[in-house]
Amino acid sequence: MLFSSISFLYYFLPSVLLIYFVVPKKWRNLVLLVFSLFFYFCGEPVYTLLLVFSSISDYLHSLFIEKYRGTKKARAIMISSVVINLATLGFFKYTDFFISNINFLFGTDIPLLKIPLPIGISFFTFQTMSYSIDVYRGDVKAEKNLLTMGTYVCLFPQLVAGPIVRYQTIAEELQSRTHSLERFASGITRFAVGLGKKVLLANTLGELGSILGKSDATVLSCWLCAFAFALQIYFDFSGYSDMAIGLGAMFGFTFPENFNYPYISTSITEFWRRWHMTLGSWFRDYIYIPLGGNRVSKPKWLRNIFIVWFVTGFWHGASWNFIIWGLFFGVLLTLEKLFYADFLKRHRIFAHIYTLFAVLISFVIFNVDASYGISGTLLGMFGFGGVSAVSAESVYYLRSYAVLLIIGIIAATPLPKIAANKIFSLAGNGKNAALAIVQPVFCGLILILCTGFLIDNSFNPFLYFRF
Amino acid sequence: MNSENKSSKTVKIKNIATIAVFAAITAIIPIASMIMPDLEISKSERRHLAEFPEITAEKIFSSELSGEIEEYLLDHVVMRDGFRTIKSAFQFGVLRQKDNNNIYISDGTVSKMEYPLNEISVKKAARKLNDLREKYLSESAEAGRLFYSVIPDKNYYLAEKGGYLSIDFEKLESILAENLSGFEYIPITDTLSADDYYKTDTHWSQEKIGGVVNRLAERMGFVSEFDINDYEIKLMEPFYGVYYGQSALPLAPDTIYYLTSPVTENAEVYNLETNSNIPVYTTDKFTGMDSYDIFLNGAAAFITITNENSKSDRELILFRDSFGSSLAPLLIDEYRTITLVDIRYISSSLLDQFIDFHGQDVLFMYSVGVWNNSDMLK
Repeated sequence: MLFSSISFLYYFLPSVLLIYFVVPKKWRNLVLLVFSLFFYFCGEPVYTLLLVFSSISDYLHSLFIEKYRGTKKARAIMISSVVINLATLGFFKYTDFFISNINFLFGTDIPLLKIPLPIGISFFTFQTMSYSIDVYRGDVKAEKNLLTMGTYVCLFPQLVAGPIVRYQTIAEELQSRTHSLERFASGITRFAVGLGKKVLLANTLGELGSILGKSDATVLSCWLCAFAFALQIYFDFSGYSDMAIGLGAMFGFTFPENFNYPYISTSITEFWRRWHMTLGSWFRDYIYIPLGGNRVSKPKWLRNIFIVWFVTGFWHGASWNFIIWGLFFGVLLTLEKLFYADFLKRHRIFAHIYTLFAVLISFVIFNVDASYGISGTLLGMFGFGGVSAVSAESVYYLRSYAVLLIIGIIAATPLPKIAANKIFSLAGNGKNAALAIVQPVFCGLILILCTGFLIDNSFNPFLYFRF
Repeated sequence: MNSENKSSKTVKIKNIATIAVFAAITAIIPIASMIMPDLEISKSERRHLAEFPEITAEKIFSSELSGEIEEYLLDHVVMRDGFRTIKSAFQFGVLRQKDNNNIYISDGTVSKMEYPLNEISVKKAARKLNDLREKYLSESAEAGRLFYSVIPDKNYYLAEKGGYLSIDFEKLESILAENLSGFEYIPITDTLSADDYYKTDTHWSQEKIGGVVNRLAERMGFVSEFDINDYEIKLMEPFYGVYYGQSALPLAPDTIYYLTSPVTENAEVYNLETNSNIPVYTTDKFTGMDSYDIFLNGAAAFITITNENSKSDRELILFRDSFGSSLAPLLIDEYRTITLVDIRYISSSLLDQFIDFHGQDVLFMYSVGVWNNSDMLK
């Protein structure tokens, strides 16, 4: 079930909210768990068992880690948790990748298993794994209540596409959380913002790439495809995160931020501090720092960087393009740190152009479904491969989507938020009380408009569901 | 009241209003959707709406059911057309997109971009026509009575002015010319303009195709030219054409004018599929799914029109699409029999079971959309 679907918006969400707020407080986690399992069951009926297994497995592991704390057994149990999680992820996500590479390298003909990828497996295995590690490290206490643990793992707002919420972030709220008009209203607003990003911007930008892909490649169409995809994936994923954070707020949870205007970055280092922040911090805390981070010799430090970026790429998908994508960032980050970080700080305009250009290229590599193919798009962007500069189609679609692209560019900056905050502060100071109407009207309009787009559109994938 | 209290009260009102709006929308829409009886068809989109799916264990455990339920819910949201209008208005008005699902509005007329030219399809259509010539139409070809024409779409006239995409019509013509043998081409683009089509529909208006009939008369040697004064013009309104629903915008409807005369009233029209006689204009169809179906009762694989008082004893076989339904009534006066064949609905390999081919006039008259998507020709 997608957040941006009629069944979620008008049937699932109102039902869960109604029941959640009607039942006594002590039952609320149970309501969330039951609805979350149903939410996952709608998309992955059989794999719901996998989700339940994952929850119970790490629940038990953490209890035993706690029991044997300070002994070698605790370490072994923690390793067992990590191995089970990685094996689950590896089996469902990477088996066919390894088989096809073995077949390619050794000329064997091992049949592919073609196992459907469980939705959100990359997210929930990382959450449960980090939980067991955190218990082992003593950062959190093992949760003794299976219901609470299940609610944490299965919590539908963040279950299938993050943000990656660590147990310690919401441990207290799982026990007791406060609800307020302010929090609920801000949750609705955040959800509406995310829904608008996803349905109005990401989906429409996705259509542009899809339409252009049916025409002959030109330099202009290749750039348009690259540009549209970079904006699409940002609005798609950050929109989902906004919706998740908003839903979390409605139910009294505070989820971590996942995006912070990455396209205003002036270096790749900064970009990754602003893009998919919960994944970046996960790799930092559970891989990079345990490997020694930057407090080791230079060769080891470089090794650590490349391990992290290899894993980052591989996490995104069982395909070489994702690995190359990750390593591409690894190379850029290394070069930045070794050679030109200071130069970028002194030349901010150049630094911004450089960053956007590198990110644009990276997303061409990332977009395995690119209409012209990865190499076709990259070559086409620079006029190679015998493509013409423009065509009637590419000019037409540039004109047709120009306003959307401009809105997309503006919406990817903090400007709309600054404007919204200004309006809310003017409304809040009591001098311009009429402006208080802006927030409810905005939320209502977005909901109505998105409903119209959902009804009339068939293009509604969530890019990050595949990861 | 001090400013702090006032501010706090404003914030509280803002929050309550936000929650109230959200609650109202997310409650009213599903409740109203459930209360309202399910519609079987969407007249504006001209399609059957999804029915509530059958629930089986297999579907539940394959996640097929949730997909089907979503499809059902999407089709039965209360005020569905209103939501589609909102979306369309936003795309045209705010995003300033030039088209919505290839539908655009130019000079108050709705049109659709047929684009790009599918050369493979056009060549395939040409092969189909050549096959038919070889199999059935050799006598007509030898007598020089084998004709074809391409009906331009409205987009042909509107695209350039509005900066929209349209197929390369000249290239389409040249592909057909290169690949068809034994056929004579009758060009008609110069006999039409954008105003000769309905504003909300893909079709031409019958009362405005006199130029087309006269071009056919000139090339096919009719006894007399078309004269609109020979007909009584009747009308039916409002006519909401196929693009009206697809554009989802509140546009002014069209009027269907249809031309009657003693000839059209006395002609005998026989529909082979239903094994029944029908009138030339089935006005009852005006309130149906597609009002354009008043012309020869809508889509049919095989229709014969017999006119005992025709100006000549000649016969015509018209291979046609829906445009032919409004054209054929204007040719009745010229032919003793007109056989309308729509090989989108009947396999061309079966035609000799129903038609005695013996050197009749044969006209293949298809709109651009059919030439460009010729897979539909059987």
